[in-house]
Formats: sequence, structure tokens, C-alpha cells
Amino acid sequence: MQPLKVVVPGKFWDSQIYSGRLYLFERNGGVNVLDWDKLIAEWKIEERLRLAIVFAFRRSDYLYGRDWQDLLSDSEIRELIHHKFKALSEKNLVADPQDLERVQVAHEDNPFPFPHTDSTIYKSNLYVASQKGVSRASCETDAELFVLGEPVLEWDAPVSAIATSYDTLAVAAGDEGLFELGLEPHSRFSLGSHKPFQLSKSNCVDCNWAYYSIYGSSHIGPSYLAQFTREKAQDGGEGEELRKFDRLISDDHIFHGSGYSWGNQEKLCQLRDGQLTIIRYRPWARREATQLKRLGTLNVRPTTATIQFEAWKGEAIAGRVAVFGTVIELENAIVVVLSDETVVTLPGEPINWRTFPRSKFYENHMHVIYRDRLEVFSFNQDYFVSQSQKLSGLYHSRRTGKRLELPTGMPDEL
Amino acid sequence: MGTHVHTHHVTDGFTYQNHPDHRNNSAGKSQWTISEGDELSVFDLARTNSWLLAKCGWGLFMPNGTVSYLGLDQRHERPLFVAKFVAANQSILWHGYPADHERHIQDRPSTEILRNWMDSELLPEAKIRKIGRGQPCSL
Repeated sequence: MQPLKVVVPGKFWDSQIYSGRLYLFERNGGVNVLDWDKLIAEWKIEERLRLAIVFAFRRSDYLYGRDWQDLLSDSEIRELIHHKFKALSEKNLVADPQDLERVQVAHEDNPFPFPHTDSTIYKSNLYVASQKGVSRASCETDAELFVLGEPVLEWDAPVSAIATSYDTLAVAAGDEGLFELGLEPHSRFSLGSHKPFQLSKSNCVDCNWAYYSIYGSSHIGPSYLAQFTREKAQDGGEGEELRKFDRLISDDHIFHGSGYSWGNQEKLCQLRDGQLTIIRYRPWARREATQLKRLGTLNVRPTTATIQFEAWKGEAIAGRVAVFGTVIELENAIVVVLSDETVVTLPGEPINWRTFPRSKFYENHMHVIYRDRLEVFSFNQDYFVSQSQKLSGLYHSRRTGKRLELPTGMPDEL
Repeated sequence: MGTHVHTHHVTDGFTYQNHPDHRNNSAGKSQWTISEGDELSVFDLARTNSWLLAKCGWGLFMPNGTVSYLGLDQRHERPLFVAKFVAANQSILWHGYPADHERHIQDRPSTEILRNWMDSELLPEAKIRKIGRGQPCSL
């Protein structure tokens, strides 16, 4: 199934999408905030494709829902949905400047250091990382008059990348290592409360959450999993739990060899000698006594997929795992290994790109910024893939309509 | 073996030294691959473009108007194209070395310098992003 694409013309540096709004960091120093949902809802397109464009760009959750899955089990309905996506993929979906102006929520001077290195939105706060540190500003979406709050400096040292979860900010700080910083004063999930806690002194250029653990990536030294356990709080009430740091596990142990690696939730990936290796990570299995003894296969099971890459695309720059598949930025291309194991290659060197695996409505999005445009890709093959058997991409629980979370007591096999 | 520090008076208030550790294959030291004269010209270009801050500065080697490699990393393997300059003696006496943005976060140019290079179109935006994030970046 061909990916779908909406093109937003302009000169951008970075993008975020959150609660219906598209945040565009412009290279001239502005932040443009668009009502993305309105843009898609009012897109001038034939009625027969209206449903497909909504599925693709505004509500990725619809087709993962239990009711829809029952419908999708009918081959004729599957064929119909396929046909609509295919017909939509043949359209040249370029946003009209007048439409962009019409859905503009705000256009402000960028209050953050620029050019920044990374950004994320978590609980209506926009976090921006740069050589100056990490700044936070509120971006409440239901305010009548949208204004980015005055940024507050949360971290005052150079930062490569950030990731948020569990009321905690993971910070990749280059050769200073991997840190985490609690975002709530008394959160049980953060080490060191509201103070930085160093998880590793080893080089870390990127980071992401693997359930309640954090995967730190490096091009210079070994990448590693900063593994946590999730335990019942001794002084807590019913159901109160906390994260407890366990240990660092190097990529050499996880993958039995060195290479650039990254991870998110249950999927850990490594690119080595032109091959992508995907590991399934199951932290809850660690609690079984027999597995505690087997480091190599404890929480990290060397399964399956190896996919060969062509040499011209160059070495690995960055990687991500999304619901729709695994994304690898190489020197001269972005390669997406989709969950149905087909491969999409986007030639060229992008200014920036990101996926939104934590999103509820846009988890099928991939944003890629080139010199004169943002390309919003939508991947939709995953609705038709067996979640329990797929290798590339994050598991999506159709029963709950949500990604697999917090598997206390979860059986070994998904 | 003796080594020599070559000192150059650049202009009033600016003196530059070619540091031998970055030219004699010292282990763990990045190495210039351009001549001492070119190293000095990289420094002077940084000075005239206001890429020198209070205690450190950043430079590019642009022999034909385009950015070119100027050194190798501390393992003497990976080519580098950004120079870092460090000031001593109240910002009068400077020396420099090929900066490794992948290995050392302090070797990444400041936000202001990166923006200047991006706005001046000295480096493509994608390279600016990779330098800032510490990602592999080739010319």
C-alpha cells in the first residue's frame, strides 16, 4: 500500500502535531500554529475520499478500534478501504496558502533558542532542546487566544535529544551521557525528583523510552538500555508504583555485536553491516526467576528480521520505531521498513523528520522537512497487519485501541 | 622530539598560535590536514565574521568559497570540517583544533554560530541539524 502524503509549502526547521494543532518552527524565527484537524476536515476533495483522508491524516485511531477491526475482517470491506486509500494516494495533496492562512491559529516569534536540536510536546507543554539546554513553555490548546508561554529553562547544559514519558524527561547529553529529569516535583516515576539524575556517563546522542526504561543511542561508543523495573511503592497505597533503576545493558549484549541502535517500547533495533536487526523487549519477563539468569535472553530476545540495505544510502544517522514500522535515516535517504515488511525509500537528505508514536490520533504520521516544504506522510498498511506477529513497528492492541502499556503480570508471549 | 609553537600576530588584539599537538600525530588529538597558513586563514575568517565569542570561537575552511574538510578526528580516521578556537590571556592569544561534533558536545558550535552559518547559507540546513545533534555529517 502506497503511503499518502500532504505537502505544506514553506521553509521550516521542525514540526510537532498535538491535539489537533500543527506547530511549524520556521527557519526565519517564527512559530506558525495551524488547526490541522480543520485543514483536513475542510480539504477540497471528492466525498468518496473524505473518509480515507480523515483516517489517514486526522484520526489514525479509528481503524485500530475494535469495532472497525470486526468490519475489516470482511474481505469486501477491506478491499473497499484499500481502494479508497489507493485512490487518495494518487491525488496531489498540496496545502493551498489561502487555506493555511484560514486555519492559522497563531503566528509568533519563536521564544526558544534557535536552531534547536530537538523538541517534544508532553501534557500541553512544549519542550525544546538546544546547545543552551532544555526550555519548556505551555501550549494549552483550548485557550481562546493561543499564546506560547514564556519559556522556562529546565536544563542548562547542551543537549542533543529529549524524550518524555512517566512525568520524566530523558536527556541525551552527548559525551556527558544520558540523564533523566523529573517533570513533576513529587513524581514516583522519576529518579532524583526535580533534579537531574545521570543514568550513564557514556556518550549518548539520542534517547527514547522503552516502556519505563530508556534506550540511549550513540555513534561514538556502545548504545545501551538504561533498564528500570516497575515496583510497588512501599509507602504507597493500592496500585501505587515507582520506577527503580536496575542496570545498564549494552547493545553488544542485546544484539551480540556493535552498530548504531535505537529503541522504543518493545522494539529495539540495530543497523550493522547494512542489516537491520529487530529485537523484542519484554521487561515484565524479567521478574521470572529463570529469566533473571539469562542476560542475553532475559528481556531482550534476539528474534527475527534482518533486512539488507543498499550501500549508496550511506551509514545510519538516526532511527525511530513507530506503529507503522521502523524508520532509519541514512546519509542519503530515509528508509521506512513498514510493518508488512515492504520498504519505502525517500531519497535525499532531509532537514528534519519525526514520528509521533505517543500520539493518539497521529501515530501513523511521519513528518519530513525539506528545504521548501513539510511532507506529512501517512502510513496505513498497519491496520491490516497481525499485531502479534509483526516484526517491524510497535505492537498496537486492537482490543483496547491503545498501544501495549504497563504490562505488569503480562504473560511472556504477546 | 622537540616541537615548536608558531605564533602569529593577526591584528591588534589578536595573536594566534599553531599548536603542535594537532599536527604531530599525537594520540587522542585531532589533527589538521590543512597547512599552518590555511589554519591561520580559518582563524582570521572566524575573526572577521564575528564567529569568535568571549573565550571560544568557530571556523570553517572555505578555499573556493565552499566548506571543505580541514582535519581528522582524535583517532586520525574521520574527516572533520569545523574548527574550534580557544582563547587564553583575556581573548588575545588564541589557538585552535579540528572540532569533533560527534564525539564532544563542547565541540559543537553555539546556537548563534549555527544560525549564522545557516542564514548565510554556508552549510545546508540538514548539516546544521546534524552538527547540532551530534550526528554523523559528511560534506
